[in-house]
Order: sequence, then C-alpha cells, then structure tokens
Amino acid sequence: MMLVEGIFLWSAIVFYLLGFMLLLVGVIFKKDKLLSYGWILAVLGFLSHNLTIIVRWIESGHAPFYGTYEHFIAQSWFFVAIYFVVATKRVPVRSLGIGILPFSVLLMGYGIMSGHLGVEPLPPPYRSLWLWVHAVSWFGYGAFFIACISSIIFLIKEKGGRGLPELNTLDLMTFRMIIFGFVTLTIGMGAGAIWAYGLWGRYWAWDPIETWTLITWLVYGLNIHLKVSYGWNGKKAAWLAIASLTSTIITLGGVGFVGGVHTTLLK
Amino acid sequence: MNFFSALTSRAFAIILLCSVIVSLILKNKLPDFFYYVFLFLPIFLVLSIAFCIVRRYLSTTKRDVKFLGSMIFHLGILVVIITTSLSYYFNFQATFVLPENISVDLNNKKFSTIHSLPANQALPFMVLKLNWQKTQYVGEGFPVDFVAEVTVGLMEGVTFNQSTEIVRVNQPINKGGYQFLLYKELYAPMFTLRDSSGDIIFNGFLNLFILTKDEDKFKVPNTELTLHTRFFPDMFVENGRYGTRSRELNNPAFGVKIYSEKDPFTKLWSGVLKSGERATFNGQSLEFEELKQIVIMQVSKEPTYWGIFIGWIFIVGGLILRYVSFYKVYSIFSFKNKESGSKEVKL
Repeated sequence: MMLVEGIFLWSAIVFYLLGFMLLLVGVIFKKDKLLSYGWILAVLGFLSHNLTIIVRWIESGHAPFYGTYEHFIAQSWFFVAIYFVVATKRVPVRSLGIGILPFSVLLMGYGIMSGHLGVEPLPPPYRSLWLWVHAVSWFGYGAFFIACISSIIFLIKEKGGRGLPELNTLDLMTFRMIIFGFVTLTIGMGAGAIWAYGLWGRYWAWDPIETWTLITWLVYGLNIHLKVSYGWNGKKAAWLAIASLTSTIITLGGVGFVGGVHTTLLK
Repeated sequence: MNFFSALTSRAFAIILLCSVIVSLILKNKLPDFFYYVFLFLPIFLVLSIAFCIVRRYLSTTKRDVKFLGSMIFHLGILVVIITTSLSYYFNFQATFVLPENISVDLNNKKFSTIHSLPANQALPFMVLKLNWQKTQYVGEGFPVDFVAEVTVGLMEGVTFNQSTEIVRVNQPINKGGYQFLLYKELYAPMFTLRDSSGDIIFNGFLNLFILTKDEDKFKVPNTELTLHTRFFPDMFVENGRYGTRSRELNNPAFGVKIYSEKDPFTKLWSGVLKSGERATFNGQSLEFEELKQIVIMQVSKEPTYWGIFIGWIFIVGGLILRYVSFYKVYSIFSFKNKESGSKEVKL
C-alpha cells in the first residue's frame, strides 16, 4: 500500500467515525447543527474514500476488485455511494448515516485486517468487461443494507424516537432500496453467469456464494411480492427487511471463504 | 378451492417461493433431499407462474406499462427455470489436461474428465493437442495473460475435421457446436524412477498445482515414496540457497525432497535437479527428464444457454418497465420545441 493511499484511507475512516458520532449526538439531542456537521464530515470521508480508490486503481492498473482488501474497500464505497445518492437531496434521511458510516468503517477495517495489502495485477481470468457489470451487484447489497437501517429507524421512530425522518418516508425508502437492490443484484447475477460461461463453459457452479446470492435474490423477491400482493407495509415490512439482511450478510461475510470459484477473489 | 385456482393463487406462489429458499439453504447439508425437492419444485414453479400469468392477463383490464413489465419479468423467470431444467438433459461438459505435444481424447481417463453428458448420447469423438502456450508476466512474475495454440480434432457427422486454433483465456473458440475454453496454464515435469538394476518403476508427468511459492507433494504410484517438489522456473543460487528470479521459464529446475512412507521424518534425498540430472538413493535413481507445459481446457456444449440469456434480458427488462418511472426518463430526453411549443422526444 502506498503512503498516499494509506493517508487517504485513514482519513476516510476518521472522517466517517467523527461524522457518525456527530450524527448520532445530533439525532439523540435533536441538534440540527450537529447533524449538518456530521454530514459535512461524512462528505469529507467519502471524498477521501474516493481518492483511496483512485490511488489504488492507478497503482494496480485495475479497478480495486481483487483480493480481500480491495474487495472490502470497494464494497464499502458502494454502500456509502448509495447513501449519498439517497441523502444528498433529502436532508431528513441523512440520519441513516448512523448505521451506514460505522458499518462501512467495519468493512474497511476488515479489509485492512486481511493483511493482503500488496498490489497485484489482475489475473487473466478476471480480465473481462463482465467483471464490471458483475460488480454492480455490490450496489444491490448496499441498497439492502440501507433498507435494513431505514427499517430499524422506522421501528425506533414508531416507538416515539425523536429527530428522525417521517414514518412514510422511511417506509418508502425501505421499499425503494429493496427494488433498487433487487434490480442491480439481478443485473450482477446475470453478468456473472455470462462471464462464467465464457470462462468455464458453464453459467452456474452452485458454489456457496452463488447459492447464497440466489437465496438473497429470492428473499428480496419475497419482500417485493409481500409488499405488492399482500400490502405488507410499515412494521411488518420493516421486520421483514431487517430479517432479510441475514442472507446478504451470509453472502458477503461468510460463505465466500468456504470455497468455490469466488474464493480467489477473497484471498 | 379447486386444484387450478389453488395453483394460480398468490398464496401458493408465496409458499413455492419460500420452499425454494428453504431447499436452497438446506442444499449443502442435505444434498439427497435437495435432489428430490428439485425434481418437483421446478414443475410446480413453472405451472404456478404460467397459470398466474395467463390468469392475470385475462382478468386485468388496465394493461399499462407496469403491468407489461410484471408480465415480462415473470415470463423471464419462466424461461430461465425451463431452460436451466432442460440444461441437465442436454449439456455436455468435460475437462482436458493437455501436456505439450500429446494428443488426448475423451477416452483417455488420465488426461480427461467428463462432468456431464446428455442422456442417451454417445461420447463425442474429439482429440485435443497442445502445441504451445505462452504466458505474459509483469512485475515480480504475476501472470496477466495466457494464450495457447491447440489442435482440435472433432468428428462431425461422418467426417473428422482437424484445425489449429489460438485460444486465449476469456476468449473461447467454437467448433462443431462445442465451446473450447482455456482455463489454466501449468507445468509438469517428467520423472523416471529406476530400481537398483535399472528397471523403470515409474515414468510419468507430475502435474504442478502450486507454482513457485510452496511445495507440491506427490505420491509415486506403486511405491512407498513421496516427492516434495519446489519449482524454480528461473533458478539462481546465492550463498548456497536456491530461488527463482521470475516465473518465466529461463532456467528451470526442481528442488526435490524424497521421503519414504515408512519413515516420513527422514529425507532419503534432497537437492536440486535440472533437466537430465538424477538423484540416487538406496540403490534407486530418480531422473528429471523433461519439463512440459500443460494447459487445462474446458469443453462445453450448452444448447440452453441462449434461453437463459434471453430469460435474463426479460427479467431485467421487466423490472425496469415495472419500477422505473417513465415520466422521469421521458423528461430527461424531451425538450420544448421553441417554434411550435409542443414537446418532442429526442433519443
């Protein structure tokens, strides 16, 4: 890891943590000014995060998608990016940062702890344009995580939590995030299948990550079905979105290390 | 409620969806259970989705873009389920391990493995031969690209067609309906083990799986010997220590340690062998004869692939139609015509 990259990376972590603390205090004590400062720190953190990605990209000559460190640095970027897309124009939603920012820091920390910080060129099998489209599914996982945070905040608000967005906003946010995640995960899965067909001659290998990605896709398909067909809104939909995140966590955090074709990406 | 209305009910669709999720979760723990479940689930899923589509189409009067999106999405799922289920009956897949300049056909179990063969279909006659392979390295010997020249012989009807093809990783070639993919490049040293009277006990290639970083371990067939090898593609010696300058094949040599199963803690011999050199121990000799390049190639025939691809396009297209607001998309691409004042769409 280059010194410049390290500086940007640690700056991002510090900004995210400070932003999280200010947002948290701002929400608890209903201090709008602290919420604004927290947002500014989160923006600074995201800028540093972007610079980390850019420096890494230049250094390695490829998008940072290879190895555990790059995997988690990029993944956390996707998570925070969705948060910024959602919250930039919707001020009340910025409080979702109390869930997004610390989780992103945890992901980045996990990447750093992996120890594989060295730069390696992308091996031949990964030199495919489909890798780019396949990585779109990370937007999906980020969206599912935001849906979960939004649902948790919904439940807190329902119990009388102060200084939080309106219940309708949170409910709508949860559903939109699930839809967005579902679409991007669909695109990512299909792209992965096409890529695998050109690389190994078969589009599906039933490796643990593939199986759990399919489970995640079906679980969120169930979320959408229950909302659209049975009108599951509010509390029920919130609990379902929270429970559904389990499949995402297993896909991202657990089964990738068991074995299979995705393991080499997470060394 | 009769069978048909139960099959087309939303509740049944939800139950099926939950059943698929549960069976997939149990897949790794209970593979046999999963196998039987997956004999029936696709049938029920296809019936349920197909009948739901028909029923909804007939009962809905407001067939707007969102309705159309939902229909296309479910049609896509239907196509994917049907084609993936058919894939089990039609797909062919095999792996070839091709040592340089050795012709390998599917009957050669030592160098080929058949993963799936369509039911009631005879083994296709295909012969592959690796002419050469080249790997491009950068930095400290990281491979970034590899390419191979392979002679592909294929029986098509009553004629045997043979051609020489260049295959790159991620860029398969198609011949006679089969897809030939370059998957991995390796090296394999040929070792010959002789007894005290000079008779050959073992003569063959050892496939290297780990290149340069760690040791490979091989049990020599029909003996009690185990070889621990370390490959130095570009060997150098410095202060009595061996290493490799790069991963390029400039000065290939093998670090070899020979152990007996009877006493796995005592080395019978250890040292470095270059091509043509031999190690002698307990009256036996082990010679490193030559080093061959090896590529692993996958051969596949997946007639249902296009169905899956089309199904995926349907699914994504259906989702976009269903959930993306066309008003916003329209407003992005539209502008006011200054002269007439009417809205025009410019794409």
